[in-house]
Amino acid sequence: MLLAFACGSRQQAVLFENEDDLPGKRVAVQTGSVYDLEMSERKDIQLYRSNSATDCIASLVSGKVDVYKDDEVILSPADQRRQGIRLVARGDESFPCGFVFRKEGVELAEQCNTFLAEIRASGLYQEIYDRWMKMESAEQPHIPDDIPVYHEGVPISVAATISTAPLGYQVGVGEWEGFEVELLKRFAASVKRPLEIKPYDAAAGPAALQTGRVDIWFGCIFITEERQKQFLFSDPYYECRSAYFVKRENDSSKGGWEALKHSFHKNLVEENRWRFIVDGLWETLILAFWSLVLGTVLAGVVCWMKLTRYKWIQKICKIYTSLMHGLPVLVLLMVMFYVVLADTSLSATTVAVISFSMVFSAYVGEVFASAIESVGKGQTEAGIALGFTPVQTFIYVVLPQAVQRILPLYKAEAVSLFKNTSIVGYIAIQDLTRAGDVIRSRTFDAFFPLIVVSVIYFLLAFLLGKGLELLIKNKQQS
Amino acid sequence: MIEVRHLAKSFTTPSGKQLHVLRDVNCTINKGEVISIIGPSGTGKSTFLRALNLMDPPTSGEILLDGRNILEKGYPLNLLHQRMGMVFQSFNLFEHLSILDNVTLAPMKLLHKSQKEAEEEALQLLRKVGMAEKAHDFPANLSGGQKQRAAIARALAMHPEVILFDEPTSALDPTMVGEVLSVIRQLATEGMTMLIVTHEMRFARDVSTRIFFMYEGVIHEDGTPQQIFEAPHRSATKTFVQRIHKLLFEVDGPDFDFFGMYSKLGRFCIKYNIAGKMEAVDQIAHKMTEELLPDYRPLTVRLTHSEQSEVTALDFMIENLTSSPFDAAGFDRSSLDVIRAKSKEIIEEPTSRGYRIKVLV
Repeated sequence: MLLAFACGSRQQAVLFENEDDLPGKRVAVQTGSVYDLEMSERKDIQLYRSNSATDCIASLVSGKVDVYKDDEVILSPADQRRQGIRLVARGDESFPCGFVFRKEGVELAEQCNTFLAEIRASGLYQEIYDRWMKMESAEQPHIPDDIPVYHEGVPISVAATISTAPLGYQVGVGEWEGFEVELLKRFAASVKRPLEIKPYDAAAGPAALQTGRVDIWFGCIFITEERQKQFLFSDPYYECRSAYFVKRENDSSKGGWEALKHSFHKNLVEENRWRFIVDGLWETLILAFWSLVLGTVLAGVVCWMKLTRYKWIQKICKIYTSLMHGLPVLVLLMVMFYVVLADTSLSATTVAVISFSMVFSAYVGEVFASAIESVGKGQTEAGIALGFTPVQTFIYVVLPQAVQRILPLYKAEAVSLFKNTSIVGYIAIQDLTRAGDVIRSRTFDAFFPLIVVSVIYFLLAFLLGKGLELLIKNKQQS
Repeated sequence: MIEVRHLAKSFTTPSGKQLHVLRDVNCTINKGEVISIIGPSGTGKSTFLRALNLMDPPTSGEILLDGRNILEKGYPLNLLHQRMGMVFQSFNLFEHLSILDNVTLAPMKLLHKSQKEAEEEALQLLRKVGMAEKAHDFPANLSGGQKQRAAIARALAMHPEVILFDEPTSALDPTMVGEVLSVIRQLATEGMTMLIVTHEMRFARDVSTRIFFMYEGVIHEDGTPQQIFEAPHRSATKTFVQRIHKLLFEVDGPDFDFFGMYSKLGRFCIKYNIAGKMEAVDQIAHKMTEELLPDYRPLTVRLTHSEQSEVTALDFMIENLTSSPFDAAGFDRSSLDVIRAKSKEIIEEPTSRGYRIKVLV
């Protein structure tokens, strides 16, 4: 299975030379891009939408689609070769790209425009452009080290909705490279402020900007009239043409074991990419651990609310649990991040911990309450009749039994909570899943990072389950 | 030791009606007494017991324990419960603990005994109730009788001054009642002060030093077992201890449903196992109401049967009459022969309400 993935599946070559060959073809585009709008109007093609360039390229390589339309700079020529695709034709249209600001961000936008004008005048712009856009060799360029970095002051927070060379991509956790990134770094230096870049999903860029989570949104964003109604754009710094990509024929593929070794090296060893996995795993573990701790505490509160005499508290509890039961976790997470807690300075990780604990507490709290109820009034009365206070009776008689009864469900919910943390990429947290995505966007290997991530998740979920099971056994024996 | 004054408890039913379960209970309980509380269901026996240790606090009244009113605000309830043990109908053992741990939990946590000390004492108590062998079993693996004996050991472990038994054998199979009663009997001989709500009449008679007969929310009669069981002063007590069952009809005129009455009389006989007397009851009732006494209305017909003495009687009461209707002019006493043949005895007597003819079947 693993080997089959690594080799890539074989598909007969479908001829595509230029735009005229489009009818009848399967075409991949990024969701929400201008090409998405353009292609959805055509009735003579089959359209495949994906959330990232990486996924589009993976579809192309695996033969799910015949052609992929995107910006010509979505992939550097070196990366195209590496990935086994090629630019077959350029489109007629071209679009100016700019940095995006909130409507209220006039001052920052003006500073940015001044900066762009200055570097154009001084010739620095051309130097940067040549560095990134003219490259033909397999060597990746780097942002020069001599750009000053400021740590004092209010950081400029930036949402990146791109993860491919040459415009903007990560080579290490938080280590960004690329044309747009260099521009931003130099701009931040010119206004003497620190720069914070966070990776967002393509679709999440506008929300992150609108809700004030970030000050600037970039990632080859075209300046369109539609967008100008909502946002403020900097002056264009780049004119982007569209292009069609197809699979490169005669893709020399190695044998099974060799391919696996190659994938391993490419995805984990090169550029120390295993660091993404380690850092992502740490983030996932931190998230899961604190969500479990806070979730358990909240579950106690929910349980108390459910069992209290006060009808109005019970009602609030009912509403809360119904909401948590009825909302998909991902939607809840986004609502918490972009709406409810948008105006607070809470970090994305904190928001995620809060959201996951809320869901966890609703389930576990309710079941805990019914476990307590199921212990039976009789035993409570017996405790009281022996001379225990109500609190002592609860601690010595009711609680141990309720805990015993709830442990199997607690285990299941804890494992499910752990797995649910894989969605935090949507609010720009680089967890284990997102780490796999980042590696994929650099290596364009659709499968290996996914498999690595899957294996890690499986092992951890298994260990967590086993650990809690042991705890249950111990409890039952004592 | 315990003095109860004007104890009352009422509930509000879901339909909003006030239900007075205890009306006015007064009694004094002395050290060493074994008191059985008997009476028909729904007369407040368990409610009284549970009010006594404030498990279900009474609505009003006073309970003096060694002279201090335990209903006063701020009376330490946990200390009260340590002095007043309780054994429940449904045992209520702690299901997550072994029998031994059930017994040692409270002494260790509340009396701060060491585990060793508590376990030694617990084993001794378990031996006393015959449960030492099962000390390490869990409640789920025991029979009802074993559970109740363990529950008694658990109550004893706190060295209470009095133990309240709330129908300790009502949830048991008949085969297991004996083992639990034996344990309680043994405690009685050791001088333990106990209050026992029970339906086991023979046990109550043999073991108790005193009987409370509860009826309609009060202690209707309070006396020694001999007095209550052999010579009860009050009719409700008598009805209960002799297990007397009654059926009452008011024959008020020509529209009265006689067939309905005969059918009910028949069913009564079947219900109380006197089907052999069914024919006689039917014929006597028919003869008396329709043939001999057609002119006396209203006529109250009452069928009674005592399970204890196995006496069945049909009473015919004519209100506001002072002399026997059979002595009235123009009545032929020989027409009573049919009834005499079917019955053991006919008693005619004037009462405060009217004239009564009692036919013993």
